[in-house]
Amino acid sequence: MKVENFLRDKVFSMIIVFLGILILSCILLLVQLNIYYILFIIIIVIFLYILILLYDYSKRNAFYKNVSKLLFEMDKKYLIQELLKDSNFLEGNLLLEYMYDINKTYIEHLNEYKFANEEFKEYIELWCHEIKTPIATSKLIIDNNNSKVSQDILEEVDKIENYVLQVLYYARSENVEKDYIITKVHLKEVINNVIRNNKKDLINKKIKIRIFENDVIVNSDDKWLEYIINQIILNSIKYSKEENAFIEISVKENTNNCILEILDNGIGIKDVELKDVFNKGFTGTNGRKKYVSTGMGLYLVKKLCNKLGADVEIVSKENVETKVFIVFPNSSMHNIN
Amino acid sequence: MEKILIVEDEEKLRDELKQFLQNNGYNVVVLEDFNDTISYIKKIDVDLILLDINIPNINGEIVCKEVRKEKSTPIIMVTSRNTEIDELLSINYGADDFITKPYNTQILLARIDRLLKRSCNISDKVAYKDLILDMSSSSIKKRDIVVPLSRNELKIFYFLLLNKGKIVSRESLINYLWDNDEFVDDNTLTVNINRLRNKLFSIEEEEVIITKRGQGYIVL
Repeated sequence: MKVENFLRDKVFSMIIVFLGILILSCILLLVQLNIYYILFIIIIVIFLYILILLYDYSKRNAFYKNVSKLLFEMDKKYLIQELLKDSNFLEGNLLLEYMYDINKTYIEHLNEYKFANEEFKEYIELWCHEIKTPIATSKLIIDNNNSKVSQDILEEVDKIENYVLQVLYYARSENVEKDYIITKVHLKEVINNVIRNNKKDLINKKIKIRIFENDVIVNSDDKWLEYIINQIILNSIKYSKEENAFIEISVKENTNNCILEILDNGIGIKDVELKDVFNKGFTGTNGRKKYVSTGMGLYLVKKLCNKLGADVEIVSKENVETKVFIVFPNSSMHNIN
Repeated sequence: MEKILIVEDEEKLRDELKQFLQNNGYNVVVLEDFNDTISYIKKIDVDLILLDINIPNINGEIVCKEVRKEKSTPIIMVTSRNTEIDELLSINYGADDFITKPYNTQILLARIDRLLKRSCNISDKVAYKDLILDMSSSSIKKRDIVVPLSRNELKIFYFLLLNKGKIVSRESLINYLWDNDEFVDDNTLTVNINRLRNKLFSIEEEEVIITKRGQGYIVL
């Protein structure tokens, strides 16, 4: 609070005091009081008035200085009211009261959205679980009535299943709560599951698979990791070339991290588009040219990876190869014994 | 024939599952009345139970816990929720395995197979004429000659013996190998079959694997 501004605020009271002194000195002159007495009285009155102003200023200044300091330092500024103590002056206290009321309604309003969001997420999860039963039933019907047509339908049902999972993991990834449990995960097992689940496409497209042999253990959530790796393999299959396609999965254990590398010799990604592949809704020329792409797959991969404490990177040469690296840091490798 | 009990309230799924398991050579019993699930399961004598977590009146996990107190029948929990927490809970309640919907039918079969083998103690040796295929040491024995096999060769020979007298197509062989984590392609399969034949040849078993042109292989 600047002194200048404070004084400007007090102009009216200063005029009143000045007028008061003027009237008082006129009266005192009329009663023929000694001019020195009058001057003395005036000086005392002015002195007292300045004292009052100083006191007022210091109180207010202390309070507002504190407010602006807190506002500057605080991360969640809307919580400031919780940190302010009694101000020792009326307007300050009134302000605190009003702030309290405003904050309360604001938080209630915010909570409404929070609950609505939470409810929506719960509904989405529930819906995803509900729809799995008809999908499971459809798959069994297909298996029980095996034919060329039913196999074609199975492919579509598999796509539906993948889209449903995408919704489920999207709902989970947007959530602040932890929906996962970190355990010791055998990487090879997770990868084998993914490859097995995509067996049909991989065999049909004659894509060769090479997987590392050693048993590497990382600390992660196996369901999430399986989903993540599945997305990457799905992309490798989607964008594979017709001739001599292969996917090579290798792993490198370093002292401070463990890097899983998924390499394919597919159509690759344009240099200019590489930096955007993890963005929500981004569909590169590949996505638009070849297939309908939601632009969600890699976005979710990145998001889920980060939630699990891992990192993901893509390196690619157009028409040559694409390498996806998942980096599991050391801390997440060794924090569970 | 092993008997499997299906505890699943979704009628259509139950019927299809029943048919699916019957097609794959199992004897299937289904539970239709969910008023007294626990005592029904306790009474019935089966080799394996497929138990859905979400059944009417009672939670599947509790059923599992109660049944476990009296029986050691293998139980596979089936659920549509796929979080680690559910899995841990099920295992804690005494389930032997846990599978999430929508299950891959081949994986479901493999899990059932594995559990039944475990509880019935089927030996890991398969005999054919005077050959013995030893799964645990990955080798073929003929009297006192032992020929070691690679993982692929072992699995190929095992699958052919399993389908003795039937023609096994190359596709179904490849499918079987992929289901068992050997991701081989067409060329590798040919190479492996030739190697297997050579090994059999070395112990004077020439005509074990017969090629049916355009159809596949057969072991008679």
